[in-house]
Amino acid sequence: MTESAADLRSPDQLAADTRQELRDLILALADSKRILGIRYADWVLGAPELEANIAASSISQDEWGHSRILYALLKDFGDDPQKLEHERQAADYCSIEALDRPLGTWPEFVVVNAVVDTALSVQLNALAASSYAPLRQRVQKQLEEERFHAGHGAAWLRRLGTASDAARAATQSALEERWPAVIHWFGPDELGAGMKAAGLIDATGAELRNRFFQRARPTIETSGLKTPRLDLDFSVWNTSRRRSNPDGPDPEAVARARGDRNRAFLMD
Amino acid sequence: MARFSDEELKEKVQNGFIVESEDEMTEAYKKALITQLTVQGDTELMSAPSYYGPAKDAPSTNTMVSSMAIIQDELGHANIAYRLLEDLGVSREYLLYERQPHEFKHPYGFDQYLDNWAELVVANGLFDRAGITLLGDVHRNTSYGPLKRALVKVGLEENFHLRHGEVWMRRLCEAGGEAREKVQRGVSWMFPMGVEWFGMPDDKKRHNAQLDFRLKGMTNDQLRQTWLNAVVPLCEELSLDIPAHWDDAEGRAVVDYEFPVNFDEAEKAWLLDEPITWEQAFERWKRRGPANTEYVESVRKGRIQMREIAAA
Amino acid sequence: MTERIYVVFARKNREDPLHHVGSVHASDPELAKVYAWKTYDEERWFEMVVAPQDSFHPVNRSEIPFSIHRDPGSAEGA
Ligand SMILES: [Fe+2]
Ligand SMILES: [Fe+2]
Repeated sequence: MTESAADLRSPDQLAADTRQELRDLILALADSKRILGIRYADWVLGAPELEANIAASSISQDEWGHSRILYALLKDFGDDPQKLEHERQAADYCSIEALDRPLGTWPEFVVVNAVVDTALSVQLNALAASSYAPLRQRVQKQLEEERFHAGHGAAWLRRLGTASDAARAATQSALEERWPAVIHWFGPDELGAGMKAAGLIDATGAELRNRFFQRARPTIETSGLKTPRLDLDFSVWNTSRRRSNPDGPDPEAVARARGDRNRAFLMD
Repeated sequence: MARFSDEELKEKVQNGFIVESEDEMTEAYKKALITQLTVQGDTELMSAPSYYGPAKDAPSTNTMVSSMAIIQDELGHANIAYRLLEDLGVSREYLLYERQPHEFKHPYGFDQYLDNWAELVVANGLFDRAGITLLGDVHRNTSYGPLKRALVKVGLEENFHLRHGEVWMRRLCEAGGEAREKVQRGVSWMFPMGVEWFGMPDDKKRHNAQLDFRLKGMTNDQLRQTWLNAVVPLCEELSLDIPAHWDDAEGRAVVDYEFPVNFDEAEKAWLLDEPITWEQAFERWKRRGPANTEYVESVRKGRIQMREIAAA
Repeated sequence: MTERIYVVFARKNREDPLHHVGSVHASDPELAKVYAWKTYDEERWFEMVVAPQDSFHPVNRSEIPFSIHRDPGSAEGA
């Protein structure tokens, strides 16, 4: 599916509100992947085995690669990718709230790898048949790389869930902690209905959340863990930034995302 | 073991025999190989935390990807060396997680902090060049088949690190100002580090099992000269000050001070007018540098966490 | 956690034979696949497979060195 008569090649072909929704979604994915890569990178040296160090390093590069491509797509929406990368404050970030804090322990890494990464992929997958051609054409390669991220997350989740009671408890509590932000991330049930009608995406918020459950639940439950339950609450939800907490990621992560400490060497 | 005597094996490998399994080794061959692989694995492993310092704060997404890719490669190379050691009966668990930090056998250069992006790329240009010089020689000459094959991947990737270093050194030097100053600062402490990297000069070194068993092909002085012949012209071309020059008459690079010399760890500065003996240099290496413990602990964090929760 | 060594084989192009490219430690085959793919990413492989090292049986020699197929001369200047 690379070319079709119904293809949209420019955001100008979209109604203003749909165009804005699509732009916000691409930015949310790009920011989430940029920050996710930074969270993964924290474990590049300290994972529990050498092969996992290597995997963490490679996976973080994949995420940054995806974010770079997604930011570049925003040029056609009138954004300046250079400014998006280097000049925003934490409160401007649209990254998934589940990544606002660093991953302090290996079980936290594994939960984010198994659950947050999967949520982003579910969202990405809904764009694989998008009528917006520039986006659709870049999604496939990302999804192929994501298969290995998911494989890593699932295998480690199972390993932690079955290693010992303490390992399972630590993993369960990391899961409870990040879970609400993940399931809220897909937004209110009707989010994306306009984009869906325009063929930009193939699912609304409720449908995406359901797809995510379908994927995540078996992984969680075959690992001896429990899928957390909770009620959705969108009372303070910011649709454009896809989050309830306005603060954004911790300042250290944002400083790293901007490259603050080595600004003098920014010349690529 | 002991299918051959040491003398027989030395003669065989000098005539091109490739060792493929433990029963074809002598105790002395195996010991020399284990030493070589341990230095190799430790060097690759400890380059990772050293590069990580600036990589995690790289100036952009692109540079973060390129530097993280280099770290991934180094960890992969460490894995290769440790896997080879494991096949020789040395526990990878022990090598990675149970030695004291000072027992690692990497060069002293990877016990230092790299302060910024410029220092990372200088390390790629100078230290990875040292790695290529050493491992390229091993790749061409080693009599140990599994290592020779494994070094194909390592060689491809180390060349990428070197190119990364040289391209960026050039770019920063051309930019001038702070970028250039920081490259100079890095070169000033890393160049003499590289001179020391290759160890004791040939005239001070007694017989060498690694050469006799054809685990490598070049002597320390030859390796050092190969490195100098690559690094000195690069620095001269970029107008970077180094205590060495290219000698047209001799057709080779020449070091302008009596090495080894004293090093001020706190200032990361060499005292080029304070020569020391090689024994003193070895003592400094053995004491290890300022980042040694931190770097070793950084690669053990998750292993320790896992042991704690898996045992609980 | 029972760790095993998995041997990694791969080939670059359709018509190529599988080559031994290395090995990884892993606690299960799923993890072994990810580790192999991420550790030996020096090429864009057409195909990669892994197998537990202890599933190989030496036929004429006493040990399996997994050293047979890769051409050591194919890259210069390691
Ligand atoms: Fe390396
Ligand atoms: Fe390197």
